[in-house]
Amino acid sequence: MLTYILRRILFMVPVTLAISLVAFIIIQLPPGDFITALTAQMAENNETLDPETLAALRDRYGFDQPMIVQYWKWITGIVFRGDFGQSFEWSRPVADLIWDRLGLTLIVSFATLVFVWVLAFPIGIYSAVRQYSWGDYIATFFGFIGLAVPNFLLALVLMYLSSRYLGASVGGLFSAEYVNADWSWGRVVDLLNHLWVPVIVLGTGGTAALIRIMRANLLDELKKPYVELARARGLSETRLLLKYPVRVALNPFISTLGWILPTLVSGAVVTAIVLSLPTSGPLLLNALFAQDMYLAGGFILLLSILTLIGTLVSDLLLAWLDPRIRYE
Amino acid sequence: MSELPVLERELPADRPADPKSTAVAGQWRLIWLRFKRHRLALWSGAIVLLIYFVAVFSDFIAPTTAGYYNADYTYAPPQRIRLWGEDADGQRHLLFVYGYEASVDPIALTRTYEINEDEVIGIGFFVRGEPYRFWGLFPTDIHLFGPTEAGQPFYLFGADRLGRDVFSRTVHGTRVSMSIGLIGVAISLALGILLGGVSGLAGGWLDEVIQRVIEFLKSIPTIPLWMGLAAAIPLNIHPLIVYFWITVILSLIGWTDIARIVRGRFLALKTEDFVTAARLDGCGQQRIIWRHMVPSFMSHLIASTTLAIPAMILAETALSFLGIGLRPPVVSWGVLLKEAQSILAVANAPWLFLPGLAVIVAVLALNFLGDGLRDASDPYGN
Amino acid sequence: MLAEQVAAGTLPPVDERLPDDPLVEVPLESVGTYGGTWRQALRGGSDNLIERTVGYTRLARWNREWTDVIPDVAESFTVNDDATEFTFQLREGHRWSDGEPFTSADILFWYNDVLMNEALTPEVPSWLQSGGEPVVVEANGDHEVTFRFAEPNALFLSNMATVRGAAILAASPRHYLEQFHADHNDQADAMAQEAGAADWVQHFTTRVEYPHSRWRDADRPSLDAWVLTEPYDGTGQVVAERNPYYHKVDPEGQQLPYIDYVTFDVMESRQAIVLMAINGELDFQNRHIETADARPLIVQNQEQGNYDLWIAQPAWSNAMMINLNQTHKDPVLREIFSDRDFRVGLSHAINRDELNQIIYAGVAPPYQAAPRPGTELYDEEMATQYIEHDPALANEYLDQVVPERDQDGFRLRPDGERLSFAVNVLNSRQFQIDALELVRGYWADVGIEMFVRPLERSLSISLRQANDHDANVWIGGGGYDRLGLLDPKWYFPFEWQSSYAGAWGIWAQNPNDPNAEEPDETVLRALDLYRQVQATPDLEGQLDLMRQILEITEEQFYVIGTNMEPDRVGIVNADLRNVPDAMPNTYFYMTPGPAAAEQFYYVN
Repeated sequence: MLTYILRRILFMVPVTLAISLVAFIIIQLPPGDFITALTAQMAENNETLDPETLAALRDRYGFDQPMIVQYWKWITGIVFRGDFGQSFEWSRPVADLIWDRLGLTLIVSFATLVFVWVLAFPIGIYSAVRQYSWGDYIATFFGFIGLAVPNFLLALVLMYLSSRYLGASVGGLFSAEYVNADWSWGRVVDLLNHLWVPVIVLGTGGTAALIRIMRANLLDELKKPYVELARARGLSETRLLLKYPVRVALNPFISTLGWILPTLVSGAVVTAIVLSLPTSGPLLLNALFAQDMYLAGGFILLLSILTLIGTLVSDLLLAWLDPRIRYE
Repeated sequence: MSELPVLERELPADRPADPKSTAVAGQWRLIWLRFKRHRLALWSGAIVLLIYFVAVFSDFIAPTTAGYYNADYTYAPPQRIRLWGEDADGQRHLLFVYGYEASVDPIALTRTYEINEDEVIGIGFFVRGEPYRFWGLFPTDIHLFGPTEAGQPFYLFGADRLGRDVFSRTVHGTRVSMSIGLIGVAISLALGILLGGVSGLAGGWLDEVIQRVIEFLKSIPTIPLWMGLAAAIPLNIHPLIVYFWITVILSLIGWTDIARIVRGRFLALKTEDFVTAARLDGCGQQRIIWRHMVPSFMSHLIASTTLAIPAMILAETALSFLGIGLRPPVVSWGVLLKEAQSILAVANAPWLFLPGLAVIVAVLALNFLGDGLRDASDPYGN
Repeated sequence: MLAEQVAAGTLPPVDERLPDDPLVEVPLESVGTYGGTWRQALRGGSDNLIERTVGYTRLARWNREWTDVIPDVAESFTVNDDATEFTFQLREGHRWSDGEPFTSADILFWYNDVLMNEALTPEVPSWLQSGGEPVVVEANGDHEVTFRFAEPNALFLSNMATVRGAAILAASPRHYLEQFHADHNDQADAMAQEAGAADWVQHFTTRVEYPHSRWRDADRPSLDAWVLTEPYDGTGQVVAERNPYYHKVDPEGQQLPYIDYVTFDVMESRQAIVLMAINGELDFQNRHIETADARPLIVQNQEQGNYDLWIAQPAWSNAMMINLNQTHKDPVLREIFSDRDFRVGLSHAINRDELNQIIYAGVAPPYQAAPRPGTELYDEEMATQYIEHDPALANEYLDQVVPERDQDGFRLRPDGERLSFAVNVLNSRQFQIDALELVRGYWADVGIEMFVRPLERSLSISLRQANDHDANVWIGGGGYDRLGLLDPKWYFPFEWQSSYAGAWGIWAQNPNDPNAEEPDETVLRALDLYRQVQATPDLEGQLDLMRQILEITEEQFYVIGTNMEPDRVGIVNADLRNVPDAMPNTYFYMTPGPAAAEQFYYVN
């Protein structure tokens, strides 16, 4: 067990390094650099910057150096000094920027996760136990509708409806009076008032997927002979269900844990843009478009490491929950 | 393997071979029999076939071409199809729509439309309309249906900002969206089976490397990856080739899931009794793989594939939203929905969301089909 | 709001806060009352709306009508006859927003320690140079500074009134900035590293620099009407409150500004800002909500959102100019594009009336890239040449250049290949993509194959900077007189953005650039005329020279124009007063800066 964990962690090091290199290459793939992006952004509005200013900026940020030198500077800064560099666009340390947004991102992600599980778990069990019943069809149908509606459309429509007919402020996670306020009871309530829109938008897709997985796995389990044996022994249906089959069918929930955090952070980008959420998604996307490479690179690296850790944790959890899974 | 007690199963007694009996039916027949019981999946299958039929014949089915515009009908609302009407020439039509009466607001710069009951526009089949090349080859101007007189307003799904017919554009978008799913999944499938199979069968360091590659690909957030790869698409290529590139990009990320499934199956099957039996019978490695192992999870794979297509369709809409998707004049559902992504559409022209209905129907049908296939994929169970 | 602070003893009384001789701002309609919040919305992380509203303070600024430059922070200024010496009188008793005195020593700090410091300013911006020499700034006592140029710099004051001028005052608060400057603080580098910056240069520049970063720091004292209390740092709403030391009063002697707070919600999508506008959550704004697709909503929801409209007059001549790259790297395309008949033919092939109806809802009449009607430089012939839709005439012109056609009816290049090129367009400009799609059809009708190629903006710019584009479209053309003088890039190859002749434009800016190419005689003559504009002190003389340049432009017909850029609308809270009904809308005017938001006030 211990050697297994150690081996997995050991393998994470080269993968992480590879990711850091690829992340750096990916963000450099689009032509130009931050200065180009800045020029472009201004030119789009028919605004210009003096060429002298641009030259000075390019010089200061070291864009004229070869990519491998830039990469080396970046990665050694992270490895030896924990310094993720400074965001060009925000003129602030990357770590601070990401940290600022992480709290609310986690709140949104966690609320979505709870929403998805609370919905998917019972519906999934119901659908499996009452396979091909009307209830099953209806639940699956609505689940899939959630999956099929593109998030950005749903987000836009919900934002419109909530602001026009429910008097909510447009987008964001707080009303104007609480945006810059310290945490208080009122601010929590205000947050909850705004949270439901993104949670619904983000949760719909995941719910359908989990319902389907839960249903399929439970169906597989219910066909197994041990269930019949248990039934023959006179176990009540509820106990029978919860004792083993549900436990086994839970596996996919656990294994999704590994992916769920990064996908909620990056997969929510489109939704977060439409809803103007102060989460990390828009920061990442803007950094990519602005070619703010240290910010984008730091983000990708962080998300990737989160995924790696998440996978490891969920694999361990899985093994703990289901002893049949062996450490190979 | 489960260590729980296994009940003995009653084996069918010797009986004469009845071709209709499930006892002697082949695997695929059993799957079909089970699949047939899943009514929703059956209907979904039919709908999927219909959608692909539309995709193949979209030029002909759409009442007009994807690019046809008309300044007089910008943001015209959808028309309702009505029965039995008589047009100005006294000709009677089984199906017809009413024309529009438009007024222009000079400050808001919008047109307001009223139904004009005096103008009856008959709908005919195999009518002449905008000229086009069927499959890009045969020049014609025959459309499956449309206004009997070419050029009359005919907007079943309403019109967009240029007065283009949203219905026709949705039909045209079917081809690109549905084929992106299909081709993308095909590429994913090929890569996935190959690499997953190698990984599962060979084991050892090869397995380890492929597993790390998968882990690596899965841990890079998709949006930066998309954007990076989209930036690598060459510039001087035809819009249709851009479409092909985007398909490849989507499938480059999609193959990992399939590879995992294939690998898992191979690992599990290696120790199965029937594989051992085949080996003891003296079958060659190739034969064991292709004759015994692959068929046993093929159905499962098909199910996963149908479930992957909707993901591709949705991914294409997300790419379009980010502005790194297809280029005009290529039309896809994603392109149409991106164009609907404005408060103006929500407030004043909600019919622009109707292409979303096509996405929903397609995704639902493919999912139910996949579900049914998966339920049926293990025909020997129960 | 300030009276309470005075009563509490935390702020000196108003007489001590105002300069001895405050600027009397005559309100547009009426003298106002204090209070209220001006709500606006920004988009993303690098919006310059703060710069245009809160930050429109300079030594000298545009007047509201955009006809002249008037004193602002400076009490007055004088220019010598050959436009080489500019002297600014500062106000006695003028203070920074933190109460520290503002004197010529502050301006000298900017000059000596920022502009002349090679680490901070490796290259002096061109508007502060003349004859290849940087400006010399001298103080004559505490309240007078002189800017001296080696050669005439006639556009200096105009440049000062644009975005450029803010750089001086932003980098002037010596008492605050010295702590970050290595020449004044040995610990500056250590301080920078502690804050996460690479070195003191980075730490310092991010506080004073445009774009955006100067608004990331809420501690920097300023002379603006409002000062930041919550910075633009990505964590929440940006807030500014009134500067108790602001240098303007109304005719009744009340200190401006009237409005207490300015807030900026940071949104990520344009659509969200439009929704805020129609819900009445914005008080005065045109940025982000003036796009064509928002207009019906903005107009229709006036009552519900409790706002009125004002006209944002476009300073641009053209909604979509088509620039064929006449310095194309492919010699065949270069020769074809350079042929004036070819461009005239393509121009006649475009149905501009239909474009007007479909794309611009009928408010953008056909127009070439030329100064707008009603300006001094307006020339009807230039504005309307080759504008009629006449496919037969178009074919006649095109037949003189590329007569051969293939079996699909498309014209062939001299080397026998099909003539085919791509027009780049920004993927964010849906209306131009739509318009180009129509143009593609018009051109196909006369046998020209064109592809519409929407590009992400950075990519589009990189291609232009490398002279790697076939053609592109852009909004533009100096539609106003002042704009034509300051920004002539669409009239002759002047910089890399002059993408109808990319290599020449790059040359005009930097002859050593690898993509630069020396232009032909005509362009050199235009460039020379423009150099004379820069050296001509009086406006009339400048306009005369500009007319000569425009004659060349008209004759050369570099750019194919389509339609006149239509008026846009902005919104204003129905309770807000002293807001003009219309104002020029361009970066060079810094809309809405010169409208003097400090005299806006709320009734009720």
